[in-house]
Amino acid sequence: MSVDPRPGGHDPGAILAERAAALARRDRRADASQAGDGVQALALIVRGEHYAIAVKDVLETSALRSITPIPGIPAPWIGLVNLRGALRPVLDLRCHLGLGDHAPGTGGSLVVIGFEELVVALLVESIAGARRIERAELRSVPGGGASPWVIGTTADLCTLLDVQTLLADPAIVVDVAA
Amino acid sequence: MPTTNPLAAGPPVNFATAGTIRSPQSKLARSFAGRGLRGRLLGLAAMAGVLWLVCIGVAATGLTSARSASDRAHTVFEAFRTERDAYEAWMTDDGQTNMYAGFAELHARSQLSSLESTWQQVVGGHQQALALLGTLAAKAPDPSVRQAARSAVADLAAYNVTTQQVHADVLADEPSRAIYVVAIGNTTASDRIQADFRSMATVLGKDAERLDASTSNGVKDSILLLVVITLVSLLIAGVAVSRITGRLVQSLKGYVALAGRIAEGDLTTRTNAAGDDEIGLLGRALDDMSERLGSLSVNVRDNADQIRGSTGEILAAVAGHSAAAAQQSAAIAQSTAAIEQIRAGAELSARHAEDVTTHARSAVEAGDEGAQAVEAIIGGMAAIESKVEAIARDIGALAQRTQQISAITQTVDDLADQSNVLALNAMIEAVRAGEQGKSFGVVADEVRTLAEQSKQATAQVAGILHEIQLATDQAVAATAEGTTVVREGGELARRAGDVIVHLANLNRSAAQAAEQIAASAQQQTTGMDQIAIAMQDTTKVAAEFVAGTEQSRVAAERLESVARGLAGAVSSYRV
Repeated sequence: MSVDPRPGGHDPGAILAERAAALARRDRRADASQAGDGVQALALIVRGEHYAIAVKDVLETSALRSITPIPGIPAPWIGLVNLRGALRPVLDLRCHLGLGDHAPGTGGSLVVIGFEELVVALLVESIAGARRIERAELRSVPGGGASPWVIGTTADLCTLLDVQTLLADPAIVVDVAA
Repeated sequence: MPTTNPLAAGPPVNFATAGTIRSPQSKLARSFAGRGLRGRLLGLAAMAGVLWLVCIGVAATGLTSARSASDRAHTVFEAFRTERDAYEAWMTDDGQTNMYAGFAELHARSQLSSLESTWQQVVGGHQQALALLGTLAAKAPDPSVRQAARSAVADLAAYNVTTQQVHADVLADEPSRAIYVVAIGNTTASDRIQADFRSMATVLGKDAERLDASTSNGVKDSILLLVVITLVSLLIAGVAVSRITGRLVQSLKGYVALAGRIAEGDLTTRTNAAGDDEIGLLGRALDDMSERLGSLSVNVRDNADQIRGSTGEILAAVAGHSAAAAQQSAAIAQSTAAIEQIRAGAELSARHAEDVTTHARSAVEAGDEGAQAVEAIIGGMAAIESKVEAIARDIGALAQRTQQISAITQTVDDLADQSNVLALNAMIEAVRAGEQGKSFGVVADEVRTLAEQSKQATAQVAGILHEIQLATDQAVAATAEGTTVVREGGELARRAGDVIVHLANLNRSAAQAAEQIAASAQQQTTGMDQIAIAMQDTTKVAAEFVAGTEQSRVAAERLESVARGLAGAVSSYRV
């Protein structure tokens, strides 16, 4: 995916032509993604596993800041974080995915997602980058025992998650009134 | 070599046992106190002396009594004569005439004291005359004298009355009456006194003649008595002396015969004398002498035998001494040869000690050079140490710079991270912007790619820096080790220097010791020379000793012949 504009030949014209071709390919690919049935996704890494979420749900990304713990909060939630003046609850995706608790002090990145009025910061290990996932290459999880917020898995074992379903999971709803 | 005295080996000869002669002095002293010959003679002389003294005493007494009687008669007669002469002088005419003049002078007042003294004289003379006449009247042997004395006393009393009258007249200043009294009263009294004195003189003169005759008769009797006594004592002494000398001569003849037998060698005869006087003592002394001569001859014979035995032993010892002297000469010769060998050894030792001295001196010089070289090594080590320390400082600075680069790289890495996040967010915004954000999404992707490349580059730089860090750490450790090694090397060099200096000192001591050994060997050689000279002297002394033993042998043989002669001389005595 990376573009390395190394000087391949001696003819400046050829170089310019090659660069123009590269730019044109990208444009073509972007046209293809728009044209086909697919989704622009942000690739995440949680405990070594690759996951992805749709970019249209992501508000921003950030390096991990200091998290202020909230006493008495249920397990997936680990505290609050201040992002540009707004307090956001932080959800440990690793815990929520049943991959074990987050070990404090090991670093990580925050992915801020928003759905309706709910804005949540997801704590992940790192952000691998952006990729496009076609509908056709998604395969359902064998056995059908998967969580409802799993859309499918690509051939290279990148699991696409549905953020809206994930945030609607009753396991993460905090009923203050109750 | 045997040094025992052969005389000391024999039995001791005690000459004192033959000389216990009793002293005859005590016996002589006892007989002198008793009735010895000398005592008898002395007693005889004492008896004669006593007789003589008695005779002289008798004669002296007789003579003295006669002389005193005569003297007494003379005294009385002389006193009487003096008084009579004085009175007759007073009665002369001249005296009467003078009396007138005296009375006239006495009249003068100035002469009163003189008159008093004259009167006292008159009174004293009168008292004296009265006393003398009283004595004659009482004690005169002749009755006529006593009669005359008594009449003279009476006449003198009458005369005294007139004299008292004269004195009173003079005192009464009547000289004419005094002269009258003197001229008339005094004349008759004085005539009667004169008659008395004449009769007494006649009688006294006859007495004196009789006394002289009796005195000469006493003296004659005394002389006769003396002669008789002398003759008697001479007779007694002659008889006693004759008896004593007869006995003496008889005893002496016996003793002379005994002495003759002793001279012939017969010591068996004895006098068997008795008595405590000198003759008896002489006899017993002769017996004692004979007996002692006998024991003396026996002693002399025994001692001569012992001397002969001792001389035999002396001869044997002298023979032993000769053999020992021969052995000694052989030993001295061997010792001389051994001393010569030792001397040669000492010279060899001296030469070796000199060689050792030379080697030790060269070793000392080498040690000094080694010490200097070690000093140079120490200096070089110090320079190396300072260089290594400089390298360590440089490496430290390098590590510091590397650390700074690492910090800068970290900063670049952080910037790349932030750029990556920014690129992601930009991409997200581009996606959300939809179709209008497409181109922006491409730029954001390029930025993200650049951030990735920056991160890889910083990772490579970090790896290189890490390697540099490791290398500098190793270099620091190596320089520290180098410093330690250099220090240890310096220390080792210093110790080596100390050892070399110590070795040099030891070599110096060895050189001094070798010099001392050489000197000692020299002294030893000198001492050996002196010993050789002493051995030569010893050889001479041994030769003299051999000669001395020969002389001893000759002397012992002579002593044996003397002892033999002594025994022969004594054998003539019969005991």
